[in-house]
Parts: sequence; structure tokens; C-alpha cells
Amino acid sequence: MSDTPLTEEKINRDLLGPLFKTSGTYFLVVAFLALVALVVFVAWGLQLRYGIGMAGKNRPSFWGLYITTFVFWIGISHAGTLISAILRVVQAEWRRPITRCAEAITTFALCTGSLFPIIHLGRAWLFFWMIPYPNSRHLWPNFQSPLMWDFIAINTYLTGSVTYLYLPMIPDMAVARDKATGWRKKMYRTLALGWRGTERQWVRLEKAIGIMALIIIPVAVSVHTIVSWDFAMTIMPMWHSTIFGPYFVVGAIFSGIAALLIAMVMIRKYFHLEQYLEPIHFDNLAKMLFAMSLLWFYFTFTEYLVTWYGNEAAEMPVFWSKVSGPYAPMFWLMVACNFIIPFPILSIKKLRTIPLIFFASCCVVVGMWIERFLIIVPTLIHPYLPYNYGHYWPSVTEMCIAGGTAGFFILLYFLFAKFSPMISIWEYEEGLQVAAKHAGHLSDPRFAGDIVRGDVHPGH
Amino acid sequence: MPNTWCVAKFAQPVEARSAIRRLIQSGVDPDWMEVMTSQPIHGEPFLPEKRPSKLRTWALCGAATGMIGGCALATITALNYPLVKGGMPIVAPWTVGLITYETTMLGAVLATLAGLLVELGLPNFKSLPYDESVVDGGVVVAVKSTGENRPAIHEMVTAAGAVKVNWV
Repeated sequence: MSDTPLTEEKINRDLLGPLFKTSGTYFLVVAFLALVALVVFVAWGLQLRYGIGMAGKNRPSFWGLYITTFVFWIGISHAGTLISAILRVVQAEWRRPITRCAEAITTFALCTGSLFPIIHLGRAWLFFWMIPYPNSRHLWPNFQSPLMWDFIAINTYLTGSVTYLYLPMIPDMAVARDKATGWRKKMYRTLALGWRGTERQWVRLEKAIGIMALIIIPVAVSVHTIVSWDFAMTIMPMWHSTIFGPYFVVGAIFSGIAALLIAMVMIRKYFHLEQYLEPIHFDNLAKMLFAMSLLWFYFTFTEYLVTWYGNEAAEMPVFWSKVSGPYAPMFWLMVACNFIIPFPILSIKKLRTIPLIFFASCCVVVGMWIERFLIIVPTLIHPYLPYNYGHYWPSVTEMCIAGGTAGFFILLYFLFAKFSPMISIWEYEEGLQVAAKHAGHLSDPRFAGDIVRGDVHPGH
Repeated sequence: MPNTWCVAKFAQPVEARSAIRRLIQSGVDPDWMEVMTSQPIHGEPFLPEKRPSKLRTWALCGAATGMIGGCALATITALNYPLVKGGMPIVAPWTVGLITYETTMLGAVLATLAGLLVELGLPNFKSLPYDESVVDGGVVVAVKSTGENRPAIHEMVTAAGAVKVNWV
């Protein structure tokens, strides 16, 4: 880690560097990810051409990998905007280097997740029927359907998240405009909207971000609650649960923090941002991940205990299929990934190192995907009437689409990292100012109320 | 003589404050001054804020519009094609409430964004006084001059410690 004092020039140089310099490795990585993303779209194209039969869905399992992966990505989207908004509202100073990474995850996870209901439709070209507009048949969408709630909630969250991502980017776009040349200068000039950093602009921008943070928290909570209601509003065994809303929200934040940690480790390593993304940021997020792991275990235990104790005839086949039946290996792998492995790593201070936090986060992401699968499939193949029982195994098309979206998501994230600084420059600099104030530098009358340069770091 | 802008850059905000104080004391209208920085500066504002922000009002108005719009959309469309679904009433308050909640939030988000852009007059690609080097630190003070007071302004900002003075 460099010990060079952080000045505005150095911060600009370090954080804008990835925008203006592109290594050969970057092109290789992007080409590989584009290839993976291409697999998704080729598989989807084939499904559109030959029909939804190419997916492994059958009676009674009409939801499979697509809806599993949809719920998974919507959960991942809770990494950013929600966590960033909470940290902003509580004025956690250590948030400053991580908010941009987090907010970008939300936007791209939502873009990726939103593909799945459209893919799942089969006839994707009829998607516009969900949009409420006065059509020639005088039919309107059924607002009493949880799927419509999803549509409205996800669109609200996406609009809010894009706005919440863009607002703090405006001053950074202006910095990029002032440093760029050629076509980049024109692009950043447009994106900066004519920002000059006047006092009036700063006051209003900070106020707008504050308002947006307050709005986005309840929206984020509502989105995953509504996703859970896609299931809970049915009377299917082990779905019709009153705690599904908070259970899903906790799971979403849990997987979201894990995804954020993975992204931060990769960005830190790839863009050489060791001086900005410091161990303390990983440590703080790891503590949050630990808290969410405990909460997740509490909710899972409650959910399964109540089902077991109730011993209802329709629910027990689902329960046993997960705990000791054909889905038991996945179930216990989920418990290991979400609780048993992260518990010691995240709770013991000596083990909370960046590589081990990265490992625990990867386990959590895998575990949370399995959790989504285990919520959906075992219930669908064990409906109320035993003669309707079936089985489900995803087709190659489904696996290509579901798995490939990971590449699609990372591709979007990587492209974004070439276009915007992954750490908010002005917020980081503001953090230096606040840190200096706390360190007592401002007792020096030369600095009264003002910028201080030096070796202070936000979050310390 | 046409109006021109004096764009003075200071290394430290305390020097910029001193320049502003001198300019105001000499009779320059604070409305004719602008202060630019690379980050929000905490503490006392450089210049008095004459028009307080109405962003909260924008957000509330947007939320109210979203609320009325969402409630009307879910209610009127249900009544427009009355069909009993799942034994629920044609207009079910629980589900209308959900839609209304989301559109309320959507209205607030869009109105806050619109309010910010309107209050700041963005996007604005006109040529306005600015010094690109402000992104590397320091404080830029721009002062509109009528022409007659140009030497006085120049002298005051220089005396306050300006490291760079441009006339645009």
C-alpha cells in the first residue's frame, strides 16, 4: 500500500486512471465475459425460436431455474442502494469508498434480474401486455396479481436506483470532463450537465441525495417483500408463510453484502485501489455480513421449526424432501455456505482477512442461490395432491441462461468501471475533510471550516 | 463596457472567505459572486443563500401526485372492466394500497430529480465562469465586474491571496 499523502490531484489521478488507461488484460476479460453473455442470448434466441419447451419446466414445476435466478438477482440488488442509503442516513464515514461500487451492483443486478420474468414468459414479445396503457381491447393489467406488484415495484426500484447512482456521479463526471480529451471530453461534458461545483449546486445536490436515500430504503424493502409475496400469496405448502417478507429481505441484504464484498475485492485488486479500499472497510462490511448470517439462520430455523412442529400432511413431504430427501445435499450445502463456513471466518477477528472474507462471501452467494432454488422447486413438485407430484431437472438451455447471466452482470459492471470512477471522488475528498476535522486539524485558523490535505483517511 | 467575470483561484478556503469579505465590504453585490469547489465545504457558507431549497416540497408534491395517480390507476381500471378475481372485491383496498405505495415513491423519486435539475438550471452547457483546475483542489471565486470596478476587484482578490486571476 502506498504511503503517499492523499491530495486532490493524486485522488483524481488514481481514481480516474482506469477510465483513461486500458490494459490488454481488460480487453481479454471483457471479451471472455462478452462470450459468456453471448451464450445467454443465443440460448434465449433458440428458446424463442423453438418454444418454451426447450426449458426443463413441466407439470407441476412451472417455475424453475429462471424464477430462482430472478429472485437471486433481485436479492443481490439489495447490496447497493439499500446498504449505501442506510450508511448515508446514519452518516457512517467509512461508507465513502464503497457507495459507488454498491450502487452500481444494484443497477446492474436489477437489469440482469429483470430479464428473467421476460425469458420465463416464453413469448417475450408480449411483455408489453404488463404495461398499463389504454389498449384497443379496453383491458387493463390485473393489479390484484402479485406479478403486477412485482412489475411496478421493480420498475420503481430501478428508477430510484439509477437516479441514486447518477446523482452523486454528476460531480465526478465533471472531474472526468475536465481531465479528459477528445470524444471522452464530449461524453463527460454531456453527462456532467454543466456542473461547476458552485456552493449552491453542492448544497442542493447533497439535499437531493439525502432525500433520495430516505425514499430508497422503504422502496428496497418493499421490492423484496413483494418478490416474496409472489410465493406467499399462494397457498402452496411451505410458501404460505407470514414471515416470507422479512425472510426474503434478510436473505437479500445478506447475499447483497456478500456480492458487494466480492466486487470490492476484485476492484481493489484489478484497479490497484489498495489505498482507498482499506482493510477497515472489509472488516466493517464483514461484521455486517456476520450479523446478517445470524439473522438468516434465525429466520430459516424459525421457518423450518414451525413447519416441522405443525406436521401438516401437505407440508411434510416438502420439508422431508429438503432435510433428508433428494434435496438434502443441497439443503445442507446451503446451511454450510450461509452459516457454518461464514460463522468462524466472520466472527473471529484474526480470520477476518480480505482473502477469507472473499471466500466466505463466495460461499454466501452460492448458498443464497441454493436457498432460492430450495424455496421454489421442492414446493412445486410436491403440491397438495400426491398424485400430482412430479420432478424437475433444468435443461441445458435453462442452465446456460441462468449461469450465463453471471457473466452478463460482471460484463456490465466491468464496462461501467471503465466509464465512471468506482469510488466517488468528491465524497472521498469530503471524507478527508471530515476526518481532518475530527483529528483536530481545524483548530489551525488557516483551515477553519475548510479542505485539509494530508494523510488522513475517511473511515478511520 | 460589457460585464466581465474575474475568476480568482485560492489555495485555501480561508483566503477565499477573506476575498469575499473584502468584496462585499467594497459594495459588490453577493448575487454577483460565485464560489466553486471540488467538494462541499463544511462550516459557514461562503455566500448568503437568498433562495432556500424547495427540494422537500418537490419530493412531497411528487409523492402526492404519484399517490393520487397510482390510486386512480388501480381503482379506475378495475372499475372500467369489473371482473371478480379470486373472490376479492372489484376494488380491493389492500392491493390498491400496494400499487399506491409504489407509485407514491416513484413520484417522489422523479420529482426530486426534476426539482434538482430545475433549481440548479441543469443541464446548462452555456459558457459560464469556471476554472478547470478547481478539480485539483482550492477554491475559485468568480466575481462579475461592471468594468469600472475591475482594477479594484483585481486588487482585492490579489491582496487576499489569489494564486491565479483570470478575466473572462
